Amino acid sequence: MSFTSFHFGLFVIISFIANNYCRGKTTYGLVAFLINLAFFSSFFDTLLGAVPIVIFLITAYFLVVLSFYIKKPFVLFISLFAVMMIFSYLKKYTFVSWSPELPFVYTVIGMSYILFRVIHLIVDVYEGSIKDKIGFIDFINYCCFFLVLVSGPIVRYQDFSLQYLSKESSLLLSREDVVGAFSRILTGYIKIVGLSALFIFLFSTFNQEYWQLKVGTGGKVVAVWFGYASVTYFFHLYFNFTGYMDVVIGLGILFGYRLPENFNKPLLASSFLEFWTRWHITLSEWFRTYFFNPLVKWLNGVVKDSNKHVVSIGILGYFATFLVIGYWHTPSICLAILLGVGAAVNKIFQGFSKQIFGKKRMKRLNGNDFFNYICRGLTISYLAISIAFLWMDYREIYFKYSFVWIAVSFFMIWAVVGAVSAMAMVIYDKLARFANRFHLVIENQSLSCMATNAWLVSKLFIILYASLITINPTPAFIYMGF
Amino acid sequence: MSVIRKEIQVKLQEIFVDLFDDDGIVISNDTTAKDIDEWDSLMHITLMVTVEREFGIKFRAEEIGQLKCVGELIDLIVERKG
Repeated sequence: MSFTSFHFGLFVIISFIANNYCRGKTTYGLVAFLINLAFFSSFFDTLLGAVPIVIFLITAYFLVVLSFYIKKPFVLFISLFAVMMIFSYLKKYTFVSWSPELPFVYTVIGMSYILFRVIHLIVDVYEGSIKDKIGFIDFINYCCFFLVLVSGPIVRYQDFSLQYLSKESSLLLSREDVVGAFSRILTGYIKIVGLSALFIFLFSTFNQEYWQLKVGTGGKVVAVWFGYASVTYFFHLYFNFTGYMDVVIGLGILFGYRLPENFNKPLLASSFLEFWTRWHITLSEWFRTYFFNPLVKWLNGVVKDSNKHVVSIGILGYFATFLVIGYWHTPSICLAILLGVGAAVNKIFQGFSKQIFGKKRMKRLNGNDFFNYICRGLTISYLAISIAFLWMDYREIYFKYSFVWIAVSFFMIWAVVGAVSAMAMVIYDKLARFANRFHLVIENQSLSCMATNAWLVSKLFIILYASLITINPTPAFIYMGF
Repeated sequence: MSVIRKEIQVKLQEIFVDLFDDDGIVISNDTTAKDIDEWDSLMHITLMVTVEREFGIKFRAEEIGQLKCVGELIDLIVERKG
């Protein structure tokens, strides 16, 4: 069920009434279960197609329960290994391609995010961070909560259960909550129907031009079309993902859930590593807690005098973490390597620059506007080129052009797009400052009810107008595919 | 502040100065990652590993991720030391 479909609107209204008028833990749990089940089942064409993911969920629940009773490291290891292998098999990762495929078509909707939640549960239950027993209905309601099923944000069970259990009493929403939620939802739809649709249209045009280029076309021409395509795709992804998150978080408020923010102005990031603390935040936090931290801890244990090798351990840790994040996004190894290398080079640069310039000079440099805009431009440019491997097959380039050409053009495009992005950032900052002032005035609580309503209605009109002039169908949620 | 908390803070102060290689760092209960420039994900986990070693304790994955300030770290050390 798409978030932009009529069915979804109807589904939200019915589930909102059911959600907000059913009280008492058992009743609420069952109603929430039915709502989640209805949303979940809308993605399956046949009953058989749902069997693999249902078996995955039942196995995962069994392993979570097992972690309550058996606190042995090897049981933890086997449990984590089992859920990851089933996940990889069902998602058809290349490293398990030797195994026979299931003889029927099945759907794996939201499975990546279910896996993240399951690993979090198994580890936290094993370590004693989650002490209360988890019933099957509560487990399903957590793992398959319809608002965050397909792409997060990844809510911690401890935070979710507090809000979920609070539904025993009546849900009280203030006027500000409701207005804020609607405003957020409408902003989300403006991003999806307007901006994301605009950028996917531009991208399709540039991408078409790019692929029509023949072998032997001048490097500059290829670079220009590739540059246009990669940047427009990046902004399509940005508006698509942030737009859907706005809708999810806004609806969350109406359903009585304060979901964590997944973005914090990623375009302000002045380094690769900072970008990932601002983009898809809950995914980064998950990887930091359950992959990066245990890996660095382990490396500290095996490396002699580890305190003298903090940076080296960090470089290895960041490289491995971003390699996995990249591989999770797409089986294309290019994205994984580019993300891994980006993180490692960022850390190496931090270490070197501190040694060469000294801490104080680096601090002054980081505070310099010009330096900052260049860094921001290069960060966005690097990421735009990296994620090009989400829409481009690396073999195409490899056969079309020589390795040296690819390497040279990579740095050329990076530098040019980086410089243009840096200039664009200056305009972006000015616009953002203006928009923020405008937003503050509009959202000001002292404004009359009429002004607030006018603001909401104007947002609605922007959505309607954008829907009317959009040639392409409304862009689907990109992260749904992961 | 109890004597135990004071002792822990003194020891943490030494760890911070040593790890961040900065004599100017003065920690308090309210000190957060925002107050120390180099306190990123890597330094956070390295700090936790060093604290675990120095105090002979173990932290859970979730605790490491959820720590907000030095005061919470001291609370956790006090709790773990029993």
